[in-house]
Amino acid sequence: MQAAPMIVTKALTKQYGDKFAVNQVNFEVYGGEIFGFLGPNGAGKTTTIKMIVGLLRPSSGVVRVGGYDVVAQPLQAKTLSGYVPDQPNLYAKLSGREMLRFVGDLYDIPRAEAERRSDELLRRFDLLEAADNLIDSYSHGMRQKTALAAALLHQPRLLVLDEPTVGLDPKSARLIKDILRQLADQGTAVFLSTHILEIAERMCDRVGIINRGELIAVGTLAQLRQLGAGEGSLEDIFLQLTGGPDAFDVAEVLG
Amino acid sequence: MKTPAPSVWRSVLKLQRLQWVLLVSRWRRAGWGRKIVYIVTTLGGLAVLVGIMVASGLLLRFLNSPELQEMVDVELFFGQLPALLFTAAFVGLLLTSFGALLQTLYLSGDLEFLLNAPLPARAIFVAKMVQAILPTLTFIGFFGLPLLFGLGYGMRYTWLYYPLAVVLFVAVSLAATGIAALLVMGIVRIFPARRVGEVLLLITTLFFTFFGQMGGRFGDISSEQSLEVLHTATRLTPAWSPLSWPGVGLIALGEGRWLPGLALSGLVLACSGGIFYAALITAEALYFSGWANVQVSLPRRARREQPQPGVARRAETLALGLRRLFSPPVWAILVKDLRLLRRDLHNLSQVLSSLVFGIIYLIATFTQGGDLSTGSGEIPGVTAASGPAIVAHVGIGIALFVGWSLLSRLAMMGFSQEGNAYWILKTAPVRGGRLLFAKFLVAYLPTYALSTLFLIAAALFQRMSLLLFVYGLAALAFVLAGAAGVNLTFGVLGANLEWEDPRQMVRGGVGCLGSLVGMLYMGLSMGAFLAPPLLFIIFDLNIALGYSVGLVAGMLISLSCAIIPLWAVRSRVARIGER
Repeated sequence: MQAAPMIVTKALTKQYGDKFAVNQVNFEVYGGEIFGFLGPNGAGKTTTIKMIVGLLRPSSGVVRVGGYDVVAQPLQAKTLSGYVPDQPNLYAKLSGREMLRFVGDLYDIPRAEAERRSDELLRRFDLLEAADNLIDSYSHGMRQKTALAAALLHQPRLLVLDEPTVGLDPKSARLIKDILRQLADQGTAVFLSTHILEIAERMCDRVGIINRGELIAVGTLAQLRQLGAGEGSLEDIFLQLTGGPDAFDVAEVLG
Repeated sequence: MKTPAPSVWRSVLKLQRLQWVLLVSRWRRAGWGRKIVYIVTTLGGLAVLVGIMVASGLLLRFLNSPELQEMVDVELFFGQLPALLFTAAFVGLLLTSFGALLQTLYLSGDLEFLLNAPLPARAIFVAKMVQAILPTLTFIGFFGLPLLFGLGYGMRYTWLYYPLAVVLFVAVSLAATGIAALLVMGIVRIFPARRVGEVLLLITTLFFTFFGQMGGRFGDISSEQSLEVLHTATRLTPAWSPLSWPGVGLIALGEGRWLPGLALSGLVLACSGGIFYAALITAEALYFSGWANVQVSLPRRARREQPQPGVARRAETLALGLRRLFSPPVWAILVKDLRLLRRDLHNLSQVLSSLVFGIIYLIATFTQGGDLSTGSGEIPGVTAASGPAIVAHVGIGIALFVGWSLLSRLAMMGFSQEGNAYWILKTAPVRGGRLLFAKFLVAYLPTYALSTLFLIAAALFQRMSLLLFVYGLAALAFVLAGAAGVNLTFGVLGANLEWEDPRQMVRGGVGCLGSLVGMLYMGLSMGAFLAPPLLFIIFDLNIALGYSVGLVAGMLISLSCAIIPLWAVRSRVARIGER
């Protein structure tokens, strides 16, 4: 692991009226690691991610990317990061190739270089054949892969992904997982949120668990097991920390 | 234990009740502002209906006037009025229910949810069709039934005429809806439903804008032309047409000719019922077989332009130069927005009315030989000597006005049109100032190009002097820049990225205020540019000095409005999309 962290959050807080969506969250993510961000629905995962990539301004606290304060030095921080949202909302009336060209210009990548990388990414994501079709006609998986290709075009040192495998077929999900591992091996910091605990268990070097806006655990799986009840799976640890479903009540409702 | 299947009609009523519950819930949850809008809209709608009923009465009185009876065969016209009304209702409902059915069957997205409920599928399709047809049927009924009843009263028809008028009206409407449902399913098989909806919106916008403008400009129709329209109308409903049958049958019943009346009315009821039922079971069958949901078209490919090598080289050099001049991110946003504007019919429908407006005024300029003052009353009476010189300035004024009507939309929706894809711009390392500049160019450049074309046309047909033409170009450049600044400012303040309907792109209050301030600015800047030279002409002073004064005053106002408001909101750009 590198010495300097790619993401640092200090007392990161986002407040809507009286409600704390994210409350005093502190963690660090290093280059070369895959950091899994877990939590139940509405726990504050997406809000935290949006503050890291500069989509939301924190109410208080600090978030730094590559040493740059995302609020005070947004351009430097954004240059270092790539983002793939949970819903790949892209420009439906652009083709995949036009979309990548557009993103290349936004990140000021020389045209020839952008074209070369676009072709490479389109080939890698199996999108070359559909590259000149309008995104309108793409499936969810194709859109997700286009969004990931766009996020990787400028070769970011930090990749932030919100639920990257939701709605993907097994082949696409595997492709994305392989690519994320390769990126981490090349030194990129990968920060991803997921609901699928098996993915987090198998892919992530470290995991953070957020519940009701508060980060309740951070560490490797082994460290988390020490917090929980011995040799359980990540699912057991997660349910123990966040409060699992009350199976008895559900069974009662179902009669 | 076997559960008895619920009856179709009880289920239809249940679904209609659900619509009512949704309506009430929407009303309860709406804020006060929205409630006031609903109330005003409802009252406005009622006022329109009352207006239509009054107009119907006046029309009947006109048809009974002795003058008209001398000129046309009123008996013949009265005899064909019901057939004409039924034809109009059928065609009107066929067209309007097409859009409504597209929405309820494909775009509302609740059909599968409802079909999964323990309700008969037929009830769901009936409810959907009724839901689609009800608003338009009510509207057309308010217009058509008073006319039919008025006719019955005037002609002293039998009592059976009145209830049967209503029954036949509903029957014809159901037939139109059935056919529209099949048309929708057939078309959506070839084209995506959303695309069909976009095209429909585009056509509707084009239709209303065109006829609205044409109606406004050519509203004075002579009495001869009115009679010609009446004659043409009577020829539209030949007796052999099935659309004439309800009208002919109704009149026969009204006149007490029972046998032909009952036969024709019965035939209409049977045919309409048959068409509706056949359409209903066909729609069900097509839906459940998957036929209506599987498209046969291939995905659309974005055209990859491959011009001649020489042209391509020159275009590429120019694009590279502009890219360097504006900076790559600004150039990228400009190219992307203009591309989306052309390809996305949602956006295009927003700017289309301005283009139609411009084209109609161009046509007016052509047809009036460049003398726009003739008969239009736009130019106040001035001295005979200075009149033509003043009229020459009208071309500049209209070019500015056309440009403004396009620009106000482009600038106001500049940020909002990004919608839920705004994250792409927001996570990119692009300064707020550059984003503003890019959006400014997106609004300004096409508008300036369109206005310049219009000015060239006006200059040719009004034989504008070169000095005036150059002055006009300068006025366009500065006034439109200021308008872009003002409108873009309100576009930033009222940006709404969560719209589904393009009409919701800019938040209501800010949008209204922006339009008002924009209009105020246009009046002020156009006045600053055009008033000094016009005053110098009227008072027979040095015209060059008049232009100089206009140029300085206009530039000051325009540049201030182009720069200061945008400067004031530049920090807001970084927070667009945040709650």
